[in-house]
Amino acid sequence: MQDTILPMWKTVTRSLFSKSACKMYPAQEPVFFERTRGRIEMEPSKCIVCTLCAKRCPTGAIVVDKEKNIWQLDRFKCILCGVCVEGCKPKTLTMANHYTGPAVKNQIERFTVTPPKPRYKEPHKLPPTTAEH
Amino acid sequence: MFEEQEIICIDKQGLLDKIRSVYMEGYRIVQISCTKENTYQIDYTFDKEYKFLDIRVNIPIEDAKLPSITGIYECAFAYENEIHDLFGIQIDGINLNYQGKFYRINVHAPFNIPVAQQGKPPGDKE
Amino acid sequence: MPRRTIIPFGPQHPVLPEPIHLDLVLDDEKVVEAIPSFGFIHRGLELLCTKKSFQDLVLVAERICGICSFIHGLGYSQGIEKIMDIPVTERAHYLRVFWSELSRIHSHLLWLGLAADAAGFESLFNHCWRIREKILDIIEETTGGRVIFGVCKVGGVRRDVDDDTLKRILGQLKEIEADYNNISEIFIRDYTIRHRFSGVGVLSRDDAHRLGAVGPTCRGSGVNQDQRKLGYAVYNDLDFEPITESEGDSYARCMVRVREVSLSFELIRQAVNKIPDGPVDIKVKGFPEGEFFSRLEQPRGEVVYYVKGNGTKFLSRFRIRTPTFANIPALVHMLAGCDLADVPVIVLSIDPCISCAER
Repeated sequence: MQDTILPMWKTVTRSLFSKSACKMYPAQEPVFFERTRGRIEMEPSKCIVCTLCAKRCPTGAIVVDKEKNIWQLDRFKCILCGVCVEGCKPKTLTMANHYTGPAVKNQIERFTVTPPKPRYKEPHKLPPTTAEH
Repeated sequence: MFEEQEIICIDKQGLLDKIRSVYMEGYRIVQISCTKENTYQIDYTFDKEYKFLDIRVNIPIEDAKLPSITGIYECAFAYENEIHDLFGIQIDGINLNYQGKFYRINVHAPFNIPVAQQGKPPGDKE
Repeated sequence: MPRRTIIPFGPQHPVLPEPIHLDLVLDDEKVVEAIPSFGFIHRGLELLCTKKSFQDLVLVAERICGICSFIHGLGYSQGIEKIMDIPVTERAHYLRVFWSELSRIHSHLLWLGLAADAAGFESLFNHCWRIREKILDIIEETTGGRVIFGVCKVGGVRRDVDDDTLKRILGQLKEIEADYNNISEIFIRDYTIRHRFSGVGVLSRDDAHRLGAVGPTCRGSGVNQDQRKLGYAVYNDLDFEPITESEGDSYARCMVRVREVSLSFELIRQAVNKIPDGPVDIKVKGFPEGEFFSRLEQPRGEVVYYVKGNGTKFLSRFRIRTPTFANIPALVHMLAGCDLADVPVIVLSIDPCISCAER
């Protein structure tokens, strides 16, 4: 009989005298890792409205309106795959490592973005042609 | 890195004899799958000690009927009921027949509906 | 004259992680036969292959099931890579093996906790899941997600893990393994577990082969079959033997899983010591054309992926045969002749993952 209940007694007495393995959330702040995929953050001033993020998003959570210059993210549809963050060249989109809190209603976040104005380039002047006939 | 995969194409009449000979050789059944292109392509996959054998039958879409192999391999009832539910193929003689209620789907043979008439999934941009 | 009654088991039951329904035909307290009934979470995911591009389909494949998610993504990627002849780098293969074995450890620890809970042993259930939390922390540190990893893609993996982190993780795994050995001793020697699981749900060796059982269900009955021996990814460079037991009852299946966790710790150590340097992904150009059956070993058994491409962005067929689907006939056979009180233990001993089975 001792052989069969001794293994559990060892574990029970050890856990009686050690710290609790549970994290006291939400009283204690959770500790996330650097790579945790928590939520998409967007910096409107850096956006160049290339719409690559909207084209690559597999669920259609990102919608970019080029005429009205609105960038929109539906948090309930986002599956945190990170494909938009990988493809964003000016690094407008980043993946923050804390989760979005629970919500009762759907949150669609809209940002107004200003695409950079194209730089004015002097039209290329052709050399004068000599009309020879 | 990958093993040799042997695919044998036969027609519907010789199906049961071929499956019986495969059973006598000691293969176990792995899966039965169905693909719809111009015809229904049914794949019976078997395995014995990591050796892979696939028997392929093509049946026309208008006359989609097959004999059941549950007389030889009892465990094939799950695969045959699934094919009947999803593609609408008539399979005669299954030992445990769910009469089309295996997956509790509302629509009859949903995998048969052509792509153009299916609804769009959420997030589809095309 | 024994009374014949029919009792429904499921779809909601405290011992089931996912919904499945069984109609049990009873003679007094002995089960005469059991009729399974599916379809509660059928989502029709195979049809999405005609609507999502083949690169986006990895994300769908990963989300079929929460417990076995990485290996689903891996199997699909492997099928496409074989059709398109993409030479995946060695480092990517080693990282895939690393994450596959971590996935196997966490899945088996989850099952061990559920098995202890089915026997009524709730403190052991909590200890198993406490160890599993440490494994999930390692997974989150390297991939970004606890359950849905999101690292596999066609052509390689999306994240790299540098060698210092891998060495540190090996140190952490050594402590976790010592902790796990204390817990596994309880499964092997405890009186309650042995009594509850022994002699229950016996599946003989011939029946396991004839009914097409896979995974620990067939290995517990003496059939020596482990698809990791096929040598996909870099398993042919690693040195291991499949674990089998011969009695064929639920206790034998439990022991197979207990020992497979120790084997996985050993395989991770071998993989991390042999990992080469290099890039982790390859750019993918073109569209898949052709077909392939790709077979892998999930924690629950053999899984088969059939991918068929027709030269466009969308595949023409994507078919998955999951291990629980293959174990259902074996379950029906095992339930005939057992007591009603043993039904939860037998259903749990095949490790039912119904969301995989129904897709």
